Amino acid sequence: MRGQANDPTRLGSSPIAEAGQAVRLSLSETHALCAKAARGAGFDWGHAEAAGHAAQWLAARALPGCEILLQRLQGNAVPPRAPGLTQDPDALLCPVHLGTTLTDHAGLPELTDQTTLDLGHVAVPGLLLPFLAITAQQGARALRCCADDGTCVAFHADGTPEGDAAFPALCALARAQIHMTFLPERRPGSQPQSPERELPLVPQHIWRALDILALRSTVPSSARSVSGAGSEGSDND
Amino acid sequence: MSCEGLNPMPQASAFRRRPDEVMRLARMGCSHPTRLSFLRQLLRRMRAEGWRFDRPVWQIDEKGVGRAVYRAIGPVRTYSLVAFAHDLPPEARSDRVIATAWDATFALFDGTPDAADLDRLAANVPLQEAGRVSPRELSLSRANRSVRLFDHVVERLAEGAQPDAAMLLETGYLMRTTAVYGSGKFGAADRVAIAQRPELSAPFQAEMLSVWLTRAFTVDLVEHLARARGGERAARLAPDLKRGLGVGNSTGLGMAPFLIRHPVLLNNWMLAREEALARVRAQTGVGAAELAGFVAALDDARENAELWTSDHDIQRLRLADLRDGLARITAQVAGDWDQSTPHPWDDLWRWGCKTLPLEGQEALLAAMLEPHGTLIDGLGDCMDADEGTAFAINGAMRVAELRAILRAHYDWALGVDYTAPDQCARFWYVSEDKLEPRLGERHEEPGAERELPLDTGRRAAALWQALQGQPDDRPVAHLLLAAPRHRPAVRRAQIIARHPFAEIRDNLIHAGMLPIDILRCKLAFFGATRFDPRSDRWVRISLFQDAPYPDEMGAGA
Repeated sequence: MRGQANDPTRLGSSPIAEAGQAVRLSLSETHALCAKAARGAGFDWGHAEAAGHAAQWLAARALPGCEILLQRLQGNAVPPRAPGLTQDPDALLCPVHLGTTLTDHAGLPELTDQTTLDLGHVAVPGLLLPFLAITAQQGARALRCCADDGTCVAFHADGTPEGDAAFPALCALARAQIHMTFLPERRPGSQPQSPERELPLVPQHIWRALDILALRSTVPSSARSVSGAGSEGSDND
Repeated sequence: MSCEGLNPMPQASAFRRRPDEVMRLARMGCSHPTRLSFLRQLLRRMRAEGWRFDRPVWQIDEKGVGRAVYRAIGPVRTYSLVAFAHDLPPEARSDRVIATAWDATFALFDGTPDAADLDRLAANVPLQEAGRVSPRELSLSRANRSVRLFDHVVERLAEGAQPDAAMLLETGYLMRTTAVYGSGKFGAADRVAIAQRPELSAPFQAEMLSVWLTRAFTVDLVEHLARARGGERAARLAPDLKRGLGVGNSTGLGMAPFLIRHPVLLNNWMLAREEALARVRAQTGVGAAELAGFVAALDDARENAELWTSDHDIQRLRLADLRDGLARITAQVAGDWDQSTPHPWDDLWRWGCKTLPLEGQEALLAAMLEPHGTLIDGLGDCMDADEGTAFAINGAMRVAELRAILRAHYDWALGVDYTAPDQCARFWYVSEDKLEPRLGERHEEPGAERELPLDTGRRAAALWQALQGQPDDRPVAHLLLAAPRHRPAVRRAQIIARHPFAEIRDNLIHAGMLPIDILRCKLAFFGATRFDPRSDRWVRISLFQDAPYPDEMGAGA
C-alpha cells in the first residue's frame, strides 16, 4: 500500500488525498480495508468479516465507518458471554462481537422472549447499527436502542431504519450504556430507499492507521510463491 | 436474482447433474465458454436493443500516442471507453500486474466524458493502481502490445498488404490486458451502484464492455499507425482477419479466491448453466434447426481446438483429450445417435459421460447449449447475486440440522486427515508487497498463521468435529458464542444448504491442487477462449475472438 508513483504494489485502497487530507473510499475498498484491519488487530476471520460489513454499511449511509472501527480496534473491549449478559457488568463490550451475538440470537428465546434488554456498556456503539438492522429483520421485530445520553435509534421489523437522524450522534459516542426495546410494529412494509449519498471522506491518518493494521494480516512473499506466478519474464512476444 | 421460482420447465429437474459431480476441480478445470458466458450475454443484449457505437475523440499522433473515446449508446444510458495510448520503450515491458508501464490504459466512463473528465482521467488512468478514479468510472484497465504481431501488422498494412494469416492465428490478438479492475477498485463505482441497471445486472458486463471496445481500439490503432507510415498506400485490415482477433489477457492467482469468496454468485453461475443443460437434455426431440446449430457448434469447437495450443504439460494432455473427444462426438452424431428416442439429447449426453474424458464431456455441454438459445438464454438473468442476504447467520438452526447439512454437502471434506502433509501442504495468503493472493507451502515457508480462510474443506471438517457430542437441539448461536472460529464454516454451510453449487468440493490446500482449474472455470464463464496456462497458477487467454466489432453490430453479423 506504499510505493512510488506508478509502482502498482497496491491491490487495496489508495491513500491519495482528494479533499484536503482525506480520501474517499468505495464501499468495496472500505469493506476490504476494514476486514483486513480487524483481522490484523486480532479478530477471528468471522468477526473480521463482520467488522468489514459494519464499516461498509455505515459508509453507505455517509457515516464514519472507518473512523469508529479504528477507534474500536485501538481500544479495549471484550466479547459478550450472551446477549445482555456479560461476565463483568463493568466490562466494556465490543460492538462487533455484541452485534453478531444479537443477530445470531435474533430467533432464539434470549431475544424473542424479551421485550427489553440491557445490552451493557458498549464501546463505539455506532458500530452496532448494522447489526441492529439485521437483528430486527432476522427476528421480524421492530426495535429501538437508546444510549444513556438519550440518543435513540429504531428499526422496523424488516430491518429498515425508522429515520436515520440519530445515527451520527450514536456514531459520535465513544462508549455508552445501551438499552434495547422490542416494539410492536407500527408501520407495515418497507420505507423507500434513502437517496444515493456521497461516500464519506476518510481522513488520511485514519486510512493509514487501518492500513498498518491490515498489513499485519499479510505475509512477505517468498521467492517460491512468486515463482510460477507469472511475474518474471518479458511481455515482448 | 435467483433461478428459483423462475423455472418454467420443472420437468428439467430430473435431468440435472448433482453438485458433487459438477463442483470438482478436475471437471471445473475443463470448463468451456457457452452462450450463457458473460461476453455473449453482453453482445446479445446490445444487438437486441439496437445499441449504437461511435468514436467521438481520436487524438492519436503518428507515433501512436494520445487519447481516444469510444461510446456505446444504449436505449437509456451511454458508456464510454476512454483510451490513452502511450509510447512504451521495449525494455519497460513485462508481464502481468507487476508491470509499471503499459502501451495503453483505459477507463470505462459512465456517460459521455467532457473535457474536464478527460483531463482528470488523463492524470490518473495512465498511473493505474497508483492513480485514483471516481464513481463515474466503472472499470480501470491497461494493455500491452503483442509486440511481434503488432509490429508485423502495422508494417504489412503500411505497405498496402495484409499481415500473415498464420501469425495472426497463432497469437490471436494485438494487445493483451494485464488487469481489468471493476467493482469499486481504486475508487471506481461499486457494484451495488450499478447492479440495478438491466444492462449491467449480469456479472462483469462493464468489464466485458470495456474489453470489447478495447478490441476495436487495438485495430484502429494498427490501421492508424499504418496510415501514418504508409500514407495513401496503406491498407485496412481485411474483415476476415480482423474477426479472428480478440483481446488477450494474462491473469493469475488473484482471480482464484474470487470464486471461493463469492459462494452465492458461484452457485448462481453454475446453477444457470446446469439448468440450461438439464433443459436441453429434457427435450423430447431434435429439431432441424437445433441439429444444424449443434453440428455447426461442433465444427467451430473442432476448429478452435486445432488452433488452440499450449506448451503447458497439463493443458497439452487436455487438448489431446479435447480433440479426441470432439472427433468421437462428431462420429457419434453422424453415426449411432438415435434421434427418435424419447429424449435424444439426454441419450447423447449419457453416451458422452460413459465414453468421453472430462474435456470432451464439457465441450459436449457447450455445443449442446449452443442451438438452444430460446430455451436457455433467459437463464442469463439468474446469474447475478445479492450476496448481502447471505451475511447473517441463522443462529436458531439446531446442531442436528447443521450436522445434516455437513453430511449432505461436505462428504468430500469430512473424512480427510488434514494433518497429513499432502492434505494441508498449501496455505493461501495475501502478500505484503503486492497485496495479491498467493499460495504458500505450509511445511517450507513462514506465514501460515496469517492464512486466509480459503481452506474450506478443513474448516468444514473442524466444524464437524466441534459438533461431535453436542446436543442435537443446541442452537448454532450457542456454539458460535463458545467457538467463534467456526463462524465462516457455519455461514458457508448455511449458504450451501440453500445454494448447493456454492462450494468447490475439493481440498483447496492439497499439495496437488491446481489453481488454474479455478481460473479456467471462472474465465469460461467470462467467455474466454484459448486458455493457455504458463504455470499451475497463471494463464493467458483470449476474449472476443470471432465476435463482431461495433460497426458490425447492426449488420446481423
